Amino acid sequence: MFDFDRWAEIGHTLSQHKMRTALTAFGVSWGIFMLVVLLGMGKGLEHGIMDIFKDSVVNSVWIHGGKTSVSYKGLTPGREVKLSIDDLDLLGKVPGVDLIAPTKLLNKGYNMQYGRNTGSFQIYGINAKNAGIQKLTLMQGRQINELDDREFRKVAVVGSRVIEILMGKQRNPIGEIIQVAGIPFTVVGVYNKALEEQTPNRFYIPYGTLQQVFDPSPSLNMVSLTISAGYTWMGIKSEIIRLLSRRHGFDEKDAAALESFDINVEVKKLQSLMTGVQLFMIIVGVGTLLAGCVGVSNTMLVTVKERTREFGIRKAIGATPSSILVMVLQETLVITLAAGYLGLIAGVGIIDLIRHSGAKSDYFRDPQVDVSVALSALGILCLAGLIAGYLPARQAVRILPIEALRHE
Amino acid sequence: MIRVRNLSKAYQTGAVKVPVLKGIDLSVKVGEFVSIMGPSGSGKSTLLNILGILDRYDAGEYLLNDTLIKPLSETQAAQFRSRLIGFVFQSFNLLPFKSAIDNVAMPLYYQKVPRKQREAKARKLLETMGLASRIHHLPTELSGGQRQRVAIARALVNDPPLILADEPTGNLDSATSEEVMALFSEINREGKTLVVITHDEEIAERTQRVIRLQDGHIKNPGMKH
Repeated sequence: MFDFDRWAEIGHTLSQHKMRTALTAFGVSWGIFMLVVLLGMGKGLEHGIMDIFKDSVVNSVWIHGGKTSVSYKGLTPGREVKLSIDDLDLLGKVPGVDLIAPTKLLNKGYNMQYGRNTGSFQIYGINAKNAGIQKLTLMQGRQINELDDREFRKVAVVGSRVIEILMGKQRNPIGEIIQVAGIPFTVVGVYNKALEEQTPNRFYIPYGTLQQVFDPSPSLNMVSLTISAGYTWMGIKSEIIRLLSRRHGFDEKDAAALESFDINVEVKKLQSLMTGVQLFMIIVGVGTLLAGCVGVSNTMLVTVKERTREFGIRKAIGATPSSILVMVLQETLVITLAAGYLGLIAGVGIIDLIRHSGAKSDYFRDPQVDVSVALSALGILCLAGLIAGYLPARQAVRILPIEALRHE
Repeated sequence: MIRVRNLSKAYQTGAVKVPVLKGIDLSVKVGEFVSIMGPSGSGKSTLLNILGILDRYDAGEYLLNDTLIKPLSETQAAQFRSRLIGFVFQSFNLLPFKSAIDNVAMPLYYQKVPRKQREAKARKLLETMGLASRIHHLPTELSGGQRQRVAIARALVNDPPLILADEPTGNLDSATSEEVMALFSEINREGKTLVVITHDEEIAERTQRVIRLQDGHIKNPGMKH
């Protein structure tokens, strides 16, 4: 197979027809380049979307109280349903509920002070179980734990933005004390990412502490829970609504009385969006590839036609038809592979550049090239070039040399 | 070397079959230097192309070196052309993108002669033809006479016993034609069989025998002048 002379002859022919070679090569390079960039960006989109849910537990459900919309047992519609801390015990017994945790937001603003800096941030009461449901991605320190809650410790897990404003960036915030309305809270953890928040600027304290220090009422803003393996939210939802409707006095069928947000459903929605995007990518990719195939085929067709006379000369001086065929095919192969490789390198380079530049947004991060896909694309281009070169070349070498020589 | 019996050939032009060669009998011995003359359309080029296995014939017989050349596969034909025949064209038919030396070495490439030997042989031939300073030039950088000498060198490079030339001086001025014919005479003296088409009586006179073709027939079978 490896015949140095033959490759030298091909190299020479290609280098002597720079325009023709360059045009074919450009078609192939561009096709592969576009394909690689397209697929790479597609992966970036996929990573971006999947990243949104990275920090949440996929089987978690959040329940908020709503407003009743129908009358119930003589009660008028429009009443607010307030979830309470006691609901946790009730719902915790429902089969299928795994972890269950409270979230309470203080609706009054409190002044926070550290040294000479002050600010006002929302204060949330949570307990140790929240860590297993709505993950806060910690930069430093730890989550709120059970002892914090039970002993009403004045500790806080705060957003990185809060630290930035109150302390600046130079200091290790863990163990520092922030005064909240004159009450000292020790920072035990700093988070920098949470699903429901753009900027991490919340102030999380143990629920027990919040109840003792700021607001003794049992009302909650949200109950979050995770579903045990083998159960679904759809399966246990009616039981949970039934229990809550009895306790809080609203119609089971009143859809407005409770709001629930099932992360799993949201993930599935985005996953189906991703499937759509991927399908689109495949269509565009196949289209690009097809355009590349047509380009290579066309060039090969024209090239072979142009070279009929050359083939006639070669035959007149002793070239066998098969030697000419092999020459044409090898030329195609060399151009397609070399150009495709260049396109591949360029595409991978661009994608790498984008990745290392750290470009990301809510829906885009870490673009990545699937090299095996790019290589199969290159293979398909080669095949297209070979077929497109082979058919007319076979025709060209079949005709009598004297006719080929008359060809202009 | 060459024996042709009752050879005929017609070209299909649309629906009409135009006979070009109408029963040619011809033989050329080893070492002969023969010219073919005739007006245009007399079929002399067609005859030479058939002798060079560049074209096919319809009926009759053509024996080259006692081998019957009748519908051969293109691969077999290529092998015959490679071993036995050197062809010189009126329009040179050099590959325009190859230098003189590469053009000359091409037939050896198809005989799978190693590169070094190919180049040495081609270089030597070009030097004997006075083209030593032109070996790396492209055909477009050469004069007509130089191009034809490159083409002749190419025809000679694989040392075939038979050289066929179709109006080799047709595109050259008289001084250059003279040089080319001198070259042919020398090749003939070295023992090669030559068949040359020409329409120039002076050129024809320098050959050992003239075959006159008219309207697809040989007018003077086997005669000198």
